[in-house]
Amino acid sequence: MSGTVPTVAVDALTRIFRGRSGLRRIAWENAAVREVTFAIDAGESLALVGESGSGKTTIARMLVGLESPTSGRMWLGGHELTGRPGRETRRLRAASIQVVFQDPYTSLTPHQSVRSALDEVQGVFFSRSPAERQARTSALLEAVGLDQREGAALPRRLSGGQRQRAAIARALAVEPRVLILDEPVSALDVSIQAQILNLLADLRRSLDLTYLFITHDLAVVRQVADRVVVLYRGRVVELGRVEVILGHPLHPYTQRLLESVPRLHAIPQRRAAVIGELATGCVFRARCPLAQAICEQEPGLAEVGPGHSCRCWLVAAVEGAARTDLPTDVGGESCLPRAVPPPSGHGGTTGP
Amino acid sequence: MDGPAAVALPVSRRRLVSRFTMPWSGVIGGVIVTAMVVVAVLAPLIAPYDPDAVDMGNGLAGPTSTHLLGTDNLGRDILSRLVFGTRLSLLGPLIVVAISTVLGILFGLMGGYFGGLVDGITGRLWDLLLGFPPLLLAIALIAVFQPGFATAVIAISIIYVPLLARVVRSVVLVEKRKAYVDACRVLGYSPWRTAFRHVLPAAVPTIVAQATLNFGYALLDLAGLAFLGLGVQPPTADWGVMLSEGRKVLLLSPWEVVSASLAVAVAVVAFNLLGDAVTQQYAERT
Amino acid sequence: MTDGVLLELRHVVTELPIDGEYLPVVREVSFVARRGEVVGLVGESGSGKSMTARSILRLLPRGGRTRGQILFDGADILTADSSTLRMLRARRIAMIFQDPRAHVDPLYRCGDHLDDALRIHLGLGRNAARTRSLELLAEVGIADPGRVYRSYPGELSGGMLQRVMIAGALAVDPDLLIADEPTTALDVTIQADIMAILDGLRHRRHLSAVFITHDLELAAMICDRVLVMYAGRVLEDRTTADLFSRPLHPYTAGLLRARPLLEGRRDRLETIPGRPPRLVEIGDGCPFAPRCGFVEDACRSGAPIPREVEPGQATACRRSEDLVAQLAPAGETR
Repeated sequence: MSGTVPTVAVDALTRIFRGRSGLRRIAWENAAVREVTFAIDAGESLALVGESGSGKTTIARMLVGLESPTSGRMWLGGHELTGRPGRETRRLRAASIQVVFQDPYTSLTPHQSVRSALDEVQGVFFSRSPAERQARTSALLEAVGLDQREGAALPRRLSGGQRQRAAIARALAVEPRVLILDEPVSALDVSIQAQILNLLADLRRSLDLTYLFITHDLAVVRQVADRVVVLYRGRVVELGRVEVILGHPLHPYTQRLLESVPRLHAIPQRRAAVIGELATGCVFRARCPLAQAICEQEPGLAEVGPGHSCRCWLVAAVEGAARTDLPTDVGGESCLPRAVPPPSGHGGTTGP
Repeated sequence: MDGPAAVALPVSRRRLVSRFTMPWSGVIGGVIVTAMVVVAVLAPLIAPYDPDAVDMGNGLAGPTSTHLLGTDNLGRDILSRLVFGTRLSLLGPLIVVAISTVLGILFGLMGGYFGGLVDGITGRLWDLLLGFPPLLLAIALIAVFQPGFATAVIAISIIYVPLLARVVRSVVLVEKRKAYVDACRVLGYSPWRTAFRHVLPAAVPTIVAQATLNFGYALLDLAGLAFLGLGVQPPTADWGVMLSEGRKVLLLSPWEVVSASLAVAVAVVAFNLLGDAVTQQYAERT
Repeated sequence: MTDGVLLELRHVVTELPIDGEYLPVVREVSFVARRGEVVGLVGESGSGKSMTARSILRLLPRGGRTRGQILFDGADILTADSSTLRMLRARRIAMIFQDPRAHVDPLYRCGDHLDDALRIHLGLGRNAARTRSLELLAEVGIADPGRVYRSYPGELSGGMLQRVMIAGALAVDPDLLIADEPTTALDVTIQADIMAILDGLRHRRHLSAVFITHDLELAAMICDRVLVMYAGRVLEDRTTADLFSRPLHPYTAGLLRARPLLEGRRDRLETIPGRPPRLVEIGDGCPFAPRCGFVEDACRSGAPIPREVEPGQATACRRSEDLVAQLAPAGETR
């Protein structure tokens, strides 16, 4: 799809939290997101995968304006999102990209019925007659599988699954192009998860939506995503199509994630628990079984296959085939000797 | 052991039952308050005499068949003055609660939701106001202006604002962290819409409970100010005024003091019982 | 005991006072855990799995009551006197919880917690206790036991703290470990490490365990037997491998089909219509009947009691023999 503008794009997105703590007001810094680059094409579903501290939620919050990036750039539908949005930009952004949050128990306004929330959205974004509004609200409820009684109910009368449907309806009420789903089924029972996942798949098809799907559950990733970005401590460590990443993961962390997925009688190898991380070098160095001396330098994100990138010296070396000298820069340039045409805006390498 | 226990009541009926079971103390409070309102509204019909009707020859009489609670030093019927006094005893606190609640909500919402400088300044202001005994502060304010019903009401209202503001602020601080506030921001709603239409309603139960309690406190404080001669002025029929005048002749005839103080006590207790019951109800609901 | 049975629940019913009346949250649960065996209690919210575990140690919320029999090493826990109960809780049965931070006093160092248990319950002296504590911390896979020993709970991550809790549970060398969703709040790689630790412990110490989780696959990692619970009842009591290859209850089959597969995307995930019942909605008959695709009239009356259909495999579905083929898990992926 080269040539078309990606619906969502971020470049070198960074968010560093700073503060002072303790009696002596000692300054601390937490790089929650570091130089993250990726893009999502129209109609695509991209999964951000990571555990706690990976930065996946922070990235989403920056995309919708709940947080401001420390540095880096973001685009929605080709328009760059600037740091300080005015009221109009805020409204436009809200009309393009919406979020379904993780916790269905706190993501709906407690005293507002589902209908009333949907009506409010319409009142703010569109000028419709009351009859049109009502019709649209009913259509939305039906689209997410809520009946009239559930629509009139307050959130506290609804189950987790019903609340999540209501949250989806509310997000869809602005008629966005992009939907960010932040662990939308993690808080739900297994038998309900499947219902919501099916619903999300149906909606994507019927409304031609683009999804940014945040999750830690790799089976869900396989089910819903076209491409995957694997995050560890704010860094992209691997990125590529879902079949490739889940079928043949190259980065040690991705491999570890896959090994850790619960399976019948499959106890993974035991690993010692380490306190704290190492400040410099590869983010995964402290827990990586393959760590070497070179890992004291932070590797760049290298292209290791078509549309497939990985941030690891050893992987880059292997995939580069017979490359024995070590690269000197860590700026994200390709570590490969062969000249591979850059992918069109799908993230990974910078440069020509 | 036989089969599983079937449910005795269908769901809806059980919910109905729990909603209306207020603790009996709250019911008593509610009944008394209702009675007070009735008395205040129907005062001209209930009071046997004109509360301002002076009868010098019959001063300081004890209870008789014609004057059920006796008369005061000017021969006015105590019962009638008590009945008419109910009006001011309800009106004063009502105005106090109205003003302090509206202002308190405004400041509490702004401080809690927007934080920063607004919260810092108002916070220090509340600390200052709450650091003083309320009556003392009221006296200071009234000393500047002329004593009277209006002045007293305004003074107490100002002093009560922090009570509401603090309570609203703490609720807002808690709610602010919840996902639905983020959702409003992502929906591009203005901070005002989010604060007033989405966050504030979460504070309503707390506000109602606090306002009901404030009613009782205001009643007490206003009566106290009237007693000190700084609020309602004689010859208006008011419980605080009655306490003040009755005190002077306490040893000669205790009836005015006794009836007025009982009235104040019963009224304040009633509001407290009602307020506590309301607080409990809402605490159980969440 | 000669047949190796360590824990046996017989017709256990636990009721909790809710809105003024007693409602059963555990309905007629019976199972057996042998020495060295790990039994999984798997279910969604409201299934009663957690309450069953708490009933074993009589750790119910205020007003809760249990009847039936809970035999531990032959003696009934439910009728034990308070000193016996205390001894059981202190020395013989240990429990770890989902949120370790809620179950540990943050004002004391981790080392203090472990030392106290060793000194009070095992009578060790100060130095002996410290040595043993450090050994225990190493046993649960902590790379720097000394540092963790000196740390306060608030200084440790969730996964690290859970390891400390496991160490604490093992300190008194219990016969039985009850683990109530010990990894639910943890990241998946940390979860895998914790499961590895528990598995190692089970083999090294011949430890029996009751493992509670909502995740069937997670139970499958470590459990010898799995009980599938729903609305307070046991629907299946099976050996793990057999449960996965041949579910004998429509609910289990539904759960297995509803899960997305790592191996490949499915066109649509099969769903179980409706939702788990709330406590007050549970009536007579099989609690799964309103959602079951194979329901018959007979299912709605009469309590479903698990019956052994093969040696070591029990199911509560009265139609399981008819439905075996239809309940087999789907295998197609893209």
